[in-house]
Parts: sequence; C-alpha cells; structure tokens
Amino acid sequence: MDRIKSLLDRTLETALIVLMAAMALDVIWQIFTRFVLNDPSSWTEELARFLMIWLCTLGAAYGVSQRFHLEMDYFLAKSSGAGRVFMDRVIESFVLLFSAAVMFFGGWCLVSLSYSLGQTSPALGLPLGTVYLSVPVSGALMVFFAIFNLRHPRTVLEPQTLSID
Amino acid sequence: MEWIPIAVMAVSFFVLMALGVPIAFAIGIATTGTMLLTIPFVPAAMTMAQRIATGMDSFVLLAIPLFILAGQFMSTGGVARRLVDFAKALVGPLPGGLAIVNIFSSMLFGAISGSAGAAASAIGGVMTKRMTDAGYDRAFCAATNLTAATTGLIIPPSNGFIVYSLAAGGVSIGALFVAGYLPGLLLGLILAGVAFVQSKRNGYPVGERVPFGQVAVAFLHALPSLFLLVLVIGGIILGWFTPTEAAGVAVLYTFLLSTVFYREFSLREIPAILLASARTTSTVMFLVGASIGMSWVMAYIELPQQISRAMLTLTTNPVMLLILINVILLIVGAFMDLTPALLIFTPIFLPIVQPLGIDPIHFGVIMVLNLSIGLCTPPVGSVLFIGASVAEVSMVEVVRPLIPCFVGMIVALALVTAFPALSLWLPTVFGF
Repeated sequence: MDRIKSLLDRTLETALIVLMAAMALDVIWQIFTRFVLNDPSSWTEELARFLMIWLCTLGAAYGVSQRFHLEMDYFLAKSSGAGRVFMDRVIESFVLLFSAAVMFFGGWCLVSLSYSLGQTSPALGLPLGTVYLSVPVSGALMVFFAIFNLRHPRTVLEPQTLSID
Repeated sequence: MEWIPIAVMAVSFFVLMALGVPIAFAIGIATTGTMLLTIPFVPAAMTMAQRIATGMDSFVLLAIPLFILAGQFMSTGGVARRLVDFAKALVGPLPGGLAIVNIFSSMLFGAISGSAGAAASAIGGVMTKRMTDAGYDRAFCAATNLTAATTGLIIPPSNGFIVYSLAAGGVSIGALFVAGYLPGLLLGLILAGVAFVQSKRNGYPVGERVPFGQVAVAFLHALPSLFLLVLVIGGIILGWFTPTEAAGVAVLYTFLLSTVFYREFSLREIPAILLASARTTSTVMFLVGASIGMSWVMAYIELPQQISRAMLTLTTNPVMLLILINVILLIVGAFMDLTPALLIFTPIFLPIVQPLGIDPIHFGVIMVLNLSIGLCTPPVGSVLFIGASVAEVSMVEVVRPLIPCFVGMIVALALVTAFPALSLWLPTVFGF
C-alpha cells in the first residue's frame, strides 16, 4: 500500500504542476490575443475554468494525502497518545464517508447523467461529463488516502497556514 | 417544524468542526445530511457533487489561484528587502523608526502579495534581526509585524475581497478593491501611532536622517515592485482588464521581475513554486465549492431569514445591528480563519443588513477588516502563528505587546463601521 501511495502522490504532484502552469499560460494567452493580436480567443476562458475544476478536485485529493486541508485542531492539539489516535481515526472516518458517498458515488451519478444527456460545452464542444469526471476520480483517490490515513494515524500535528489569509 | 433542518445543519457542522474534521468536509457532511431530511440519498449526493464542481466553475474565481501564484513569485527575499530599504529611507528618522518601517513595508508587501501571512513572514524575516540589533524587544517586533501584515488584506489587490465578492453573490471586485484603500491606510496609520507611543515610552532608538539622494536611490530600487500595484489596480480601474486578467498580468510581471530582473531564483525552482500554489489553490477552492453547496441549502431552509428574524427582535437599529454582527464576527474570527468565515457568514449576515440600507461594499470592508483581527488572536490565528515563529518568540509572549495593537485595530474597525464614506467615497470617485 505504501508503494501505491507514493506512486499516486508523485503522479498527483506532476499533474498539479502541469495544470497550474497550463492555467496561468492560458489566461496570459487570453490577454495576449486581446491586446496584441486584437483578436480575443473564444476558448481560453472556458478552458481555464475546466482546468481549474480538475486542478482543485485533484488538489483536494492530494490534500487528504498530505493533510493540508484547513481544520480546527484546537482539541486535537490538546489530546495525546491513544486519545489522539482515536480522534484522528474518527476524523478520517468522516473524510472517508464524504469521499465515498458524495465525491465518488454522487460524482459518478453526475458524470453518467451528463453523458446520457449529451451535454457539451459551448466553446470547446467538450462533453461536460469529461469535466465532471474529475469529481469521482478525486473521490476514489480520497477514499484510498483516507483508508491509508486510518491505518497510519497522526501522532505529530503540523501547524497549518493558509497562504491567502 | 422549520427549525429542525437549521438545527441539524448548525449542530452537525459545529460538532464536526470542533472534532477537527477538515472544514470543507465538515461543511459537506452537514449540508448533505441536512438535504437527506427532505430528499433521498442518490439525488442528495449528486446535487452536492454538482454544487462542488459548479462552485469552482467560475472565471472570476480564477483570479484567486493567479494572485496566489504571483504572491509565490514575490515571496523571495529580494522584494521584501528592497521595500524595507525604501521604507527605512522614508520613515526611519521618526521616533520608533524601525517599528514604523516595519509597518510601512508590511503595508507595501501585503498589498503586492495580497497575503498577510506572506507579509508577516517576508517582512518579519528581514526586520526582526534589524530591530533586535537596534535594541527593540523581540515580542514587540513580532506584535508590530504581524498586526501590520493584515493591512495587506485590506489594501488591494486582496484575495479576501474576491472571496467576499463570490460569497455575496457578485459584488464588483473592482469596487471592493478601491474601497479597501482608505480603511487599509487608516489601519496602518493607527498601528504606526501605537508603535510610536510605545517606542517613545520604552526609549527605542531614532534612526538617522537620510539625505534625499539616498531616498531617491532606495525608491528606484523598490520601483519595479511598486509598479505592480499601479499596473494591476490601474488596469482594473481603467477597465483595461478584468480582475482575473489583472491577476494573469501580475503572474507574468512577478515571474519576469524575480527571474530576469532581480534574479532571485532559478528556473529549476519553478515546479516547487507551482506545486505550492496548487496546494493553496485547491484548499481554498474545495472550501469554496463545499460552501457554495452549503449556502444553496441554507437559502432553501431559509436560514438567513430565521437568523435575521431572531436578530431583529433584539434590535432594528442598523448601528446596533452592525455592532452586534461585529462582536459575533470577532468571536468567530478568534476560532476560524478568514476565508472559511467569509464563505460561511457572508450569506447569513449580508441579507440581514442589506435591507436596512447598508451597502454591500461597505459591509465587505467591515467583514474583511473584522476577520483580519481574528487572524492575530489566539487560540486560532494563522498570522499570529507565522509572526511569532518568524520572530522566534512563543505565542504567549507576544500576547502582552499585542494588546495595544488590538485596541488600535478595534478603533480602526469602529471608525470603518461608523463612517461608510471611508469605504464608499473612493469607489464613487472612480465611478464604480
């Protein structure tokens, strides 16, 4: 399981780096086409939004793996030993519950509904199901990481900071 | 039994959050659980999944990851050092000079990077050694540095205002940005006043007067960093580009500035910078997606109306109501970070105050300023944590010198709440 986790982590890191760079370049290209070429691109805005959905859902799964989601760790920080291990397992069980029920199952229903309705995006003509596919994919990854975390509960808490605050 | 869904949502959310479940997941579970009271499991799970995906699907929101990336490019030592040198040449000769230099450079850096945490760590990293070498108390340095860092959240560009704009259902980001100038300057001036009085009392040294030539040189060195502010805000005000495109310009500019011009880092470090930005982006955006789901269900179960009715039985006076909301938000801010608090409480409080004639732009400035104070207060305060660790003091030691700064921040909040013109005058001038 450790081998699979580190493989998934590396893959996700690469995907996030590529998506982030693609998103920034896409917006810069949009500005370039408008100001320099005087011929605003019709697809950059849509592509940027879709890249962001994939980036953020995959990033959220990576967050379960690396435990960087914001949480209120006030009581967790006060606990110790077996108590902390127990609390951490309860927390991860809730993460697992949401990942499996909403992200994976709910996301899957959403994808199959979009495909059966044949919805496509206006500018790029992409099936919306392909865009929404990121939700169940992220859900499946979250389920895996949450199970991994249940087997390896935290003993040390890392301080959290959100760098936009 | 209209209060049952409200009770289910509120109790499950707060219990899960207190337990330490990541806030985005606590929101998701409480929201889906509340939906299950009225609709079956499959549509509930599917609706929540859809809200999360569509909540992230916005070109306006894209400004957040791009400003985060630009902030990462700026977070190298060179920009902070040049801003500090410029601030020192300008305000160094005042009593408590270095403390005021710290505040002034935090305002500049915070404005450029749009992040209080980044300002506290970058400026604190440069200033702590200089201040302690000159005889300043370490805990005083930390307190000055971390409170001044919050001005960056109010002086534009600011991610806090983008999040508010989204949670408020589309208040103009340009107007919010411009509205932040005077309150941000006011907060900085008040904090400088506090530092001035404390430095005089403690006999902290006065810097030497700097000849005009040196001031000009320091200004020229800082100019490329400062120009970003003009470019981004000027471009938005003049209608050249949308906030998202402005953020794209900021990415390109900061990238060229730090790799080509200042040569602070090599191209090999770029993947690490992109990954760090992707981490922050997905934390924030997953929270945004879940909150969009929650505010949709909150509107469905008429939660804002219920809270509004309860609050209006206490008072119908807009001033009293704003005071009440400010007190609630100060308590919330002590436990919760700025972004989740904005996402959760804006859809609750804005519908209450708006019918009483309070402008959504004014209210946004109040909320961001109020919750910024919470970032510096124990028990949960991310900027307090960063500021203390950069200055190498414990959070407990910082609390004493923080108290006068808090008083100053509360005074600024009271003034901004009482005088809407502080927030609304500039947006009117610029025609928003």
